[in-house]
Amino acid sequence: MLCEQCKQREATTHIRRVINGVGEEHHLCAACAQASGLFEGGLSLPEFGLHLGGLFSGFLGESAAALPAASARRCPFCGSSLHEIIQSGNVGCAQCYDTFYDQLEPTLQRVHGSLEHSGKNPESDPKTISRNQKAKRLKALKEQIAAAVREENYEAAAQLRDEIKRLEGGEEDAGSV
Amino acid sequence: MPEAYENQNDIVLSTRVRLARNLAEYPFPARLDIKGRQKVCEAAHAAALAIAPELEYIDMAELSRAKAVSLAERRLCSAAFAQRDQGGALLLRKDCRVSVMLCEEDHIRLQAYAPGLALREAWELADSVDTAFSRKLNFAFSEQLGYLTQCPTNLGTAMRASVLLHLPALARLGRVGRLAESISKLGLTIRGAFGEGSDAEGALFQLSNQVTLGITEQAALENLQAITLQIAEQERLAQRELLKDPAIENKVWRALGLLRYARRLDSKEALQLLSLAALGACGGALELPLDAIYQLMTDVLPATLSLDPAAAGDRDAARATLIRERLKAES
Repeated sequence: MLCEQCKQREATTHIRRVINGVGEEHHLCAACAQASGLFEGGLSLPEFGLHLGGLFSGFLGESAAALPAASARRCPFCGSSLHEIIQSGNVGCAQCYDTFYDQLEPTLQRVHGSLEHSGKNPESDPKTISRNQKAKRLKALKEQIAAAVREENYEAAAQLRDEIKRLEGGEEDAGSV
Repeated sequence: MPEAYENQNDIVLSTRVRLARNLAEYPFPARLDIKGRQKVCEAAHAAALAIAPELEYIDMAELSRAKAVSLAERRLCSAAFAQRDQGGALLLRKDCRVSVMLCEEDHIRLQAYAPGLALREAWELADSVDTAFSRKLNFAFSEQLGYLTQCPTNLGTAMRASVLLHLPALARLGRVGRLAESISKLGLTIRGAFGEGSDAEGALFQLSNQVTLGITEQAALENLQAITLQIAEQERLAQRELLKDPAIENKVWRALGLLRYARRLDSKEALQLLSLAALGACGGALELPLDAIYQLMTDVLPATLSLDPAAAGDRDAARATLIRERLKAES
């Protein structure tokens, strides 16, 4: 297949992208692909290197293929954008994990096979940290339970209720230590 | 077969447990300028003075290039960190059992070492220093994701435990590649010891845990321990098999001859010869002190060697002299 741009060289780069549900395809030679700007501002091509960060950014680039809305957002603490995180394979700060959790989650799942830490907890002020975390999780669970009830999915709602009970019980314990 | 080796130290040179930690108040190092990094270094230094005054504070900007690279050769910091000048520091215990990289990939990378296969010992040391630091510093942590790290591949325990292995027979038989494939399925990874993507010069490999989220430190260490024991056993079997081959036996003796009599050796050749000599010693073909050979595998590396004033002129000559003297004195 010839490059759709210059119609001279063989097309070696094939791009399919979906933006807001509308798909488009491009077949370009290496030089025209470079010049097209399709990779600038959008998401970089996944680069699979030996460096784990590179590997990670490769994964992310794949899974975050249609996130124009999210890419404009920046972390309120360090100012990183999702685009920067994907390009560098480095997360900007601790808070980025909250800010971009939804976008990072599928990749984290894929890299680690799990999304639940088990192991050591830091000893510095564990109560405050766990309270903040619990408050956040409780809020999310309560939103989910409301949605489950609206959808009349009572089985899921019952499970969520148990989870909330467990968390609230846990918080009392932590507070009383 | 020579007498039993302690802590598998015929195959396992050393154990390292590394913990990554970040201060909640600062962006991760890649988002910090030099001033920001210096602040992080100062905060960690102040904490270290309070909890572990025996740790020496080394500003990487004030080190000569050779000294910095030698730290990396002795695995006390990463190769990338050795290239750092401004905004990076190392906390180092005199006996080199604890080193803490400040503002490497994470704010804090605490490493504890032990000779041979000693995962529990190294973990307990790393754990105790980490706990002491956590009383002075506010570590970024989430109940769900564990310790928060700059690279998401380290989330969770943020613990990388590794053992340095000498696998001359498995490497020579071309079995390390297959080994790497099968252990990757078990959440572990093996690579050449001289950095990511490096060739395994001197048949030195680093085996470490890969998965950090959803698995406790203990479980990861037990995994690594079990696989290390299996690899060590495979290596011993392969060594015996290999040394039955007269061509290999000849190579081993020739290596000893060169090590004892050569006048100039570059570091690559020295590593290859030392590795062969170690193979001969492990398999019982040569009577040589293995610990001295393994020590030389670090001491002949270019930067470490250059710190010796005797190496000022001709480094390859100094390397050959060092090896000759050590092997003469030890045997």
